[in-house]
Amino acid sequence: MKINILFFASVREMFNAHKKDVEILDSENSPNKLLYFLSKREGGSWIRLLNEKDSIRVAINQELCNWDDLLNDGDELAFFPPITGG
Amino acid sequence: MAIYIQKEPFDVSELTSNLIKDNTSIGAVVSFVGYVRDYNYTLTPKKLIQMNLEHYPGMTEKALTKIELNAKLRWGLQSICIVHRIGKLFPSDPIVAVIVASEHRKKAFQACEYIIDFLKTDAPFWKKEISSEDELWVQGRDEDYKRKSSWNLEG
Repeated sequence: MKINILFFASVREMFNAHKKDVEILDSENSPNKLLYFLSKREGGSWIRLLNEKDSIRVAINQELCNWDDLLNDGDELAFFPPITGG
Repeated sequence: MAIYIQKEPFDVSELTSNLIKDNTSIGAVVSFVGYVRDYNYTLTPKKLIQMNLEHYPGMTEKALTKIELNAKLRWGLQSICIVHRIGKLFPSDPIVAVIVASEHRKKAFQACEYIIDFLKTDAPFWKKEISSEDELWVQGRDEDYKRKSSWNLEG
């Protein structure tokens, strides 16, 4: 399935990119599984993101979510550090 | 209800006038305005010269709409306006304003605090602070999450 990934703030700088579209197996159907999968397949920044996972937040289709929530084909998935507006 | 995400400065008195216009049931307006401070102890040197504000277009508007709706459900308010700036900001620049109108003051005071507390943890904005030799993304504060949870405990 295809997932449209967005990066913000420090995570955007980590990847030196704002977005990345990835094709993954249908079985990698949560942010957690996707992150482990891409760390193995692509390495680099994905390994760094995995190492910092405890301080990273995720959103699916623009709603804050948990690492084990379900991902579907065509979803927008965002990785970012804790929110600091206001 | 109004939500503005913008690079430009804002005028609280103009926003307030728009909020109360043609609504004669309003008896109280409370507003909160957040500004850029010129120091942060985590920076080296501590003097902040610029702040860069980034957000997640689309999700920001959704998150703020949800916060406004929850506040309206909880306090039955007359009207709400939230404005948040993005881009490059400098010391003393206003960053955010929350303006709440209700029939009586108590609801407006409470709702204004509720909205800024939830904005701090739920609306996807990120601040980067810049000094003459350093730049740092602001870290999330546990205090903000405690404040948000305290609203749920109050019921």
